[in-house]
Amino acid sequence: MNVEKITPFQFGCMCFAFMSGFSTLYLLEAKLIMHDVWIAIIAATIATLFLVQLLVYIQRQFADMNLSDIIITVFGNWVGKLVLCLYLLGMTGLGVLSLRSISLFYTTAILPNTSPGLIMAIVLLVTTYAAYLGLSSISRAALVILPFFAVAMLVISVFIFDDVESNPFMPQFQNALPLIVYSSMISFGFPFGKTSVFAFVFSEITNQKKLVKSCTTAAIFSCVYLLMSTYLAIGCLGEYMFKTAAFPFFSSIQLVKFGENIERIEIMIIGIWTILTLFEIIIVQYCFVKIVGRIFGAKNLSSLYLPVGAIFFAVSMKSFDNPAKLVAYDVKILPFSIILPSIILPLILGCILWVKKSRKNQMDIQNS
Amino acid sequence: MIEYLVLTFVVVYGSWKSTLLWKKFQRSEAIVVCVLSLVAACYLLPVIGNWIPTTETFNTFLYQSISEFVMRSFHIVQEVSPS
Repeated sequence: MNVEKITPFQFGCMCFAFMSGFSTLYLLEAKLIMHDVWIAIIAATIATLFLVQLLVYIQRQFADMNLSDIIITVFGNWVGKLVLCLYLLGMTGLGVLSLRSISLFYTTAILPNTSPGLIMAIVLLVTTYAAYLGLSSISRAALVILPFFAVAMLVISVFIFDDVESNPFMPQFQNALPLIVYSSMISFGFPFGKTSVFAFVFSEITNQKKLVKSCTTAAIFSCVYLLMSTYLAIGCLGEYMFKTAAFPFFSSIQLVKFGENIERIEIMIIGIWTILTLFEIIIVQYCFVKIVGRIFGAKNLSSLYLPVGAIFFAVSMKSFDNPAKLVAYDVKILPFSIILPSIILPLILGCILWVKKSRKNQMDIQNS
Repeated sequence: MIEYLVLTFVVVYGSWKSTLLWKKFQRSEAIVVCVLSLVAACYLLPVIGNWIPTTETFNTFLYQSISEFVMRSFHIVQEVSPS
C-alpha cells in the first residue's frame, strides 16, 4: 500500500472539508437558542482549539508513530486495543450519521422516490474507492474542490445578505447559561468534536511543527463558515421559518436568484456540500481501516476497504430509520457520546504522558 | 433488494479474498477480511440483523439516562423537532 505523506497545507484543507461537510445542514444549536448561538459556536471552537493542542502534544511525544500505536504503547496491548475499539465505535457512529444525513437530505429535497439504501450504497462506493486511493489523493481532491466551495459560498452569501433585514444575533444573552452550555455541547458534538479522528493521520504529515497551525486555521474557518451560515439563515428566513425549516440554510439558499433567467442556484451548492460530506465519510473510513489493521496486526490493508464499506452500509441501514430519530440523536445523545473519544480518552492519554515525562525529567536531574 | 445485493457481495468477496490471502500466507489479513465480512453479513441478514446493537442503540442505551438527567437538572426543554 502506497503511504505518501501530505503537507500541512493539504492537511488543513482536508481538516476544513472534514469539519464543514454538512455542519450547516440542521443548525440545531441555533434552533435551540437562536440569538445566542454565536456564543455556543465560539465556545465549541475554543474547546476544539484546546483539544487540538492536547492531541498535538500527545503526537509530539512519539514523533513518527500513529495514534493507534501511541495508544497501544501507553495503555498496553489489551487495554490499548479496547480503547481503539471505542474509537472504532465512535467512527462508525460518525460515518452512519453522515450517511443517514446525506440520504435524508437527498430523499427530502431532491430525490423523494429514491430509496435511502441506494443513495447510501452509491455514496459508499465512491468513498470506499477514495479511501483505498489513500490520504494523498484525498487531500489533492480537497485542494481542488475548496476554491469552488469558497467562491460559491461567497457569492451566495452576498446575495442572501441583501435579504437580511436586522441583526439576527441581537439582542444578546436572552437564554439561561445552562441552555447556552448545552447548545455549545451540541455544536461541539456536530461538527467540531470530529477533530479527534484527525489525530489518527497526524503521523502522515510531512512537517509536524505546523500541525497546530493547520488544525487551528481549519477550526477557525469552520467556525466562521458556521457563524456566517447561521447569521444569514436566521436573518433571511426569520425566527419562525428558521425553527420550522428542516434544512434552514438550504431554504435560505433557495431564495437566491440571479436575475430572471438563472435560478435553482442551490443545486450547485448541494453538489459542493455533497462532496464535502463525502470527505467526512472517506476520512472516517480511512482511519477505521488503519485502526482495524493495527488491532489485528495486518500490514496489507488494501483488501479491507470493501468489507469496511459494507459494514458502514449495513449499520446505516439498521440505524435512524426515520428523521425524528436522527435529529433526536444529534440533540440528545451525540453531545454526550462524543465526550469519551474526543475529550476523556485524549485527556487520560495526555495526563499519563505528562506524568511519565515529569518523572523522567526528575530521574535525569537526580542522576546528573 | 439493495441489502441482499450487498449481502451476496460481502459473502462472495469475504470468502474469496480471505481464501486468497490465506494461501499467500497473509494470515492476519485473511482473518481481518473474514471477520469484517462476517460482521457486515450478520447486520444484513434479515432476522439476526435486527437484533444486533448498532451505534445508535448502543449509545442511546449508554447515554439516554445521562442526557435526560442533565436536561432535567438544567431545565432544558426539548424545542428542536424535525419538520
